[in-house]
Amino acid sequence: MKSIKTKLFILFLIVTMAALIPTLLTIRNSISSAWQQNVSIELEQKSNLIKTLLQVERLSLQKLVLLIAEEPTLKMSIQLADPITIQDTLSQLQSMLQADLIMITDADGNTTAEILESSYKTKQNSQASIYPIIKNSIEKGELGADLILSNNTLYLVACHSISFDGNIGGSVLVGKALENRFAAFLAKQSGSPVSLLANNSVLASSWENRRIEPAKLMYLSNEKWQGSSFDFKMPTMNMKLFLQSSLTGLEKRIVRLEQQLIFLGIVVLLLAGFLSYLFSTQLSGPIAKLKVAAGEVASGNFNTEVTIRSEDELGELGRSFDSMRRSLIQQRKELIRTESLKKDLELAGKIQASLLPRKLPKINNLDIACKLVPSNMVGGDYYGFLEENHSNKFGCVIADVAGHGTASAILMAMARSVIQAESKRIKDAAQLLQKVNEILFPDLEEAESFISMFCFHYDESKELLKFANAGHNLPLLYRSKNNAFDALDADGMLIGILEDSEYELREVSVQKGDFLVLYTDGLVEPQNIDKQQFSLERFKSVLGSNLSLSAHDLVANLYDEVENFAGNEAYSDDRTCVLIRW
Amino acid sequence: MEIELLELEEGILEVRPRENLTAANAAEFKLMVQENLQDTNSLDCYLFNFIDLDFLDSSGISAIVYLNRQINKLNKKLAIVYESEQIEEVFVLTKLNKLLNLFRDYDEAIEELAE
Repeated sequence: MKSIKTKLFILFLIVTMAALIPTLLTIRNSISSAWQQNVSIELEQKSNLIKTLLQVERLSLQKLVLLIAEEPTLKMSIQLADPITIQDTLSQLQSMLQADLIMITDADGNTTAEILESSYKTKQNSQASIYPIIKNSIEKGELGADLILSNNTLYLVACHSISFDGNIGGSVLVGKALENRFAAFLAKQSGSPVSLLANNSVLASSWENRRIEPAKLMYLSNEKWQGSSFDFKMPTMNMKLFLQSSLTGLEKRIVRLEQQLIFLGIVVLLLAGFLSYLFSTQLSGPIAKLKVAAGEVASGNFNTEVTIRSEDELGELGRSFDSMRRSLIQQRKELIRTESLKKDLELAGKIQASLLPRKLPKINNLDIACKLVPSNMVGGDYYGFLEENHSNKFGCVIADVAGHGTASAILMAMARSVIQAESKRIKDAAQLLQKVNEILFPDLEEAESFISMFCFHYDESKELLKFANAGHNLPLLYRSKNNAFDALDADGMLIGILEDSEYELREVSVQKGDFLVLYTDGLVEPQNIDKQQFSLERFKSVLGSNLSLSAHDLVANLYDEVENFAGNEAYSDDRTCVLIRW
Repeated sequence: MEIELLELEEGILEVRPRENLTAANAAEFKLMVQENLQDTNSLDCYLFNFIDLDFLDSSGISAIVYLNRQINKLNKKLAIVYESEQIEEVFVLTKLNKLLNLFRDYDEAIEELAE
């Protein structure tokens, strides 16, 4: 697995190369294109020079033809119209002028004599007027210049009429052969190979006998050449100049440029690599720190501090991580404290359970069952049996401290101590409750709480139950004789509400088949999902429909019914039940 | 928990919870009234309107007993109005009907407080 640092480094390098390579290629192409353009410009400049040379040549020919046209000997020989004389005259002129072409015509444009490349011949009745320049000079008497093609040779010519006494008697034409030799001359002057073309044919070239076809790029003599064509226009005929420039030097320069660009690219790449390394190190450093810290946290060590001194997102992440780490330390402390509290509560629950009676009173013919289920580990409910000296007497108390949980449990423990202590001395239920209220009132007032409590004493010999109530849920006495429940009510305020509360003592007789149920509100108030309470009516119904069951089974059945009805809601309050069956 | 506080023309602060007072919300109810009691501009008479309530559990009773003590300590008056039979049973069962100013009729409660 590659690290983030390596990945970032590679990424930065790829991005740099992606930007660098096209840039270098663009630079290379731009420069080489500019250089190639320079070659074109250079060729054009050379073509202009050649055109100038051709113009100079044209002017020279025109001057020459003017001189010849005024030559008396020639005039006279033409006037005589004697071919031998004309030829002699031409021969003399040729030897003097070194022209490539000299042509004499009569007034009708017929060629009377022609010297072509140092050899002359007489052309009787030859129609030279096919050259417009001659026709024009005879008809208009003008001095002209043009290009003509004769015997596959291109000539630059100048022509002028010959006059006798104001009448045009013929014309004289002088030409310069534009051959390989002349192309070589032009090439030497311009510094580039030159070819001359007319009618799409190469007629002369500084390459001499080598066949050159005009092309923009070509390979000749192991060199690469760039070529350009330029027009050279004369009145009746156009000529093309084809100039070439060697690209060898240019290509060497381009190769050098490429080498320089590659060197530059490598330098930039190395620099980018170095910067990428620095940047990726700077970027991945905090991530590495976080990774180490996260590993430490994962292994349970929360003491590795993360310090990232940057103001960017990574710095923020580092600070968040450190905040989370400190929060985890705090939470772990809280967890340890909670665990400790939980253990304390479990212990408190055990202690509280130990405060409940360990054994039930053993009275003949009495079936007694008790059950207390706190909503949490500890609760505010209490039940207990009061000691009696006589074996066929016993007392019982059930109490519910307002609320539930630890505070209620402590108050319950206090109440239980007071009850157990005072019940040894006070054998009257009403007086017992009054005493308990008197003792607990200051503490309950301070704790902003109160206790509901029901207490009775039973004398088996008289089958008499004497009871008092301090605002507790009215116990139910099932009368087998009537098959009905009586609620055992007696006047009395909740414990802890008034300092000087007094309680009514009442009595009721019981007989075989009856049973008494003491309970707390946690068995009648739980609600189901429809927000309906289990209710006292349902409570009575459950008891009344299972009369044949033992006290234990009746209580167990009652708890099952409440839990079936209310589900988890049944555990929202402490639930206590004491059932005594005669 | 939704609790409505209304200052009546008679100089009475009506406190009207919309849900049954149970262990789930009794503390919130207690706190709200307690905060109002600590306010120096608090009114002299309080009416706990339990018309919307069906039931009070021991936590609700505990909150009422506590607030009753606080109101009495400040020499202020408290009346409670309700309609539910179940609430009536709770007050009777706990004998708080002998301690608290309980009314089944709203106007009667106002009249009592306004005296």
